[in-house]
Amino acid sequence: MSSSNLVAGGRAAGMADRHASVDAVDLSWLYERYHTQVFHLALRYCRGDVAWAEDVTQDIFLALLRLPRTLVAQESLAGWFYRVTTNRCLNELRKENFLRSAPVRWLLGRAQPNERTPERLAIARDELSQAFESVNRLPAKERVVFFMVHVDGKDQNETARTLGFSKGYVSKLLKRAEQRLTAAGWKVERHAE
Amino acid sequence: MRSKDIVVLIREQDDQLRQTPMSLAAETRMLRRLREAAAIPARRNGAWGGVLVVGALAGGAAVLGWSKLRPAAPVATVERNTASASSHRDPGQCAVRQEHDRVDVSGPCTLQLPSVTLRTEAASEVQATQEGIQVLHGRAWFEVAPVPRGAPPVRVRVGGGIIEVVGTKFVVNQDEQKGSVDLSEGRIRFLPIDAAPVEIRPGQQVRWTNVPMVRPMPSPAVESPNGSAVHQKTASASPTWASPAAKRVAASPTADPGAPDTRGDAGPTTAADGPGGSPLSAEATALRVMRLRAEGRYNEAMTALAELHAANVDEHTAEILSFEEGNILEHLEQTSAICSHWKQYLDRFPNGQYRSFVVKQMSRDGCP
Repeated sequence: MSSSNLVAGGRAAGMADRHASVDAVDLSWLYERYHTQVFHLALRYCRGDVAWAEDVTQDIFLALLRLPRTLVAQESLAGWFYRVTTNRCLNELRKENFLRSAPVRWLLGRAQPNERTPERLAIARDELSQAFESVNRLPAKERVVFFMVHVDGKDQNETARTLGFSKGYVSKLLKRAEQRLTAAGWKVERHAE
Repeated sequence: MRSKDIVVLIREQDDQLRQTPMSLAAETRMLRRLREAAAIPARRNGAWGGVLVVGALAGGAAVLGWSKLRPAAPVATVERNTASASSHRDPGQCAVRQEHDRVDVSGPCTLQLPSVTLRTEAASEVQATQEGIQVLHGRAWFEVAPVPRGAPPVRVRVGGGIIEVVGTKFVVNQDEQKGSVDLSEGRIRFLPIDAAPVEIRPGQQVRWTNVPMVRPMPSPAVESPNGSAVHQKTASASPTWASPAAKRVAASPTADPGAPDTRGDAGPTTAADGPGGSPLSAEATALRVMRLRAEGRYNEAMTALAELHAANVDEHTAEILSFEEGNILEHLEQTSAICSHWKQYLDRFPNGQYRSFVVKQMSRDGCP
């Protein structure tokens, strides 16, 4: 996170104080600064669904108003947004999976959603899209852990802290994810950051 | 088994997703929703008003003391749009240069002014000075905090005139020859150099052809809470005129577009004085009146017009001057004089080029 204040005593430096009274102006400023990061993370976890990512982005910033401000001030805002967005997406994915489960669909009288729509199939024709599709077919927790470790370069301790899991559980999720991808015919290599 | 590592592919795909921008409509909707949500707790706290007042009084002294020690608020704070995780992938770079009270911004930046949040896209250039903001070229997204009643509006100078803002969100596109403004929320008024002001409503777009600007806008335009402000720089736009009327005035020998201040001088000199004290022609003065009117200096424009009343001008120039006078009266809200003036205009110029506008305006003014 880089900032370039034109004069001394810029807004970034005073953010901890200002954050003690989050108002519309502060919220707008936070939005301007972090919405790209939040939107991108949401877009990644929701298989590129822009509307879904926009909803999540809005929810994240609305949640900012309800949180004790000291919690936010204690850590870097970029880290806070990363953690909150990732967890929010994970919760949404789990909720989505729950609603798609057979008993719930039977109770709600909904049909089986067709994940492989013609649009999806059309964009999945190249190897890049096929890889993305494969990762998106992983269970929600495994998918998030996979992205955090392999794409964002987080180590397993950090991933565990962010998601509120034990390190052992993160390790297990990651291993399962890699096994699933290998079984699907992909090569999975560990990349040192 | 596929030969390529899925991690490499996923990273590549993630980079592509990073380039996917949120739509402007979604951003606008979201910011509005956030502002509304931010306002709700304040209303709920109304029941605790008494407690808050006591607390406010108790804290008042501390705040007062703190504010004395507090360093001055920044004139402007610029955040690179690259602040997020996508920093190394943004096309172009944000470049900011500050000289005294002027800020030049180019590339994808977010500029936080006292009452304006301004975001520029790549290949854009914007200047902010104490007197306002100028979009030189490119695309700039504005969000202006509501201007308190009685306070001067925020002014954004563009190639074809000035956009007056009282609290809204809009996007300005400006290139070498023309430009446009798209209003997404609120209300703005566009003051063209050579035509009647235009009220713009959400969802509407107004386009213009650039008109040369040789003088800075009058102050103040963007005032900061602590008295500091940002200055606006003049533009050098292409020497084309948007309307036939303006073209005709500009083409007159005495209104040389290349000669600074002979047409648009808004300084303390009178309308009859050119640079060096020589009298200006009626055409040059008419152009000066348009400039003054476009810049909101209505009283000065009326003074300049009054000095032309006795001048011997051709019919076309007379019509422009009469139309200008009516417009200025509208701005000055001289309701008693407006109707009679427009009636005189219609009587004198039955086939005038502004006739339809005048008829509509008379209807809006409730003229008999």
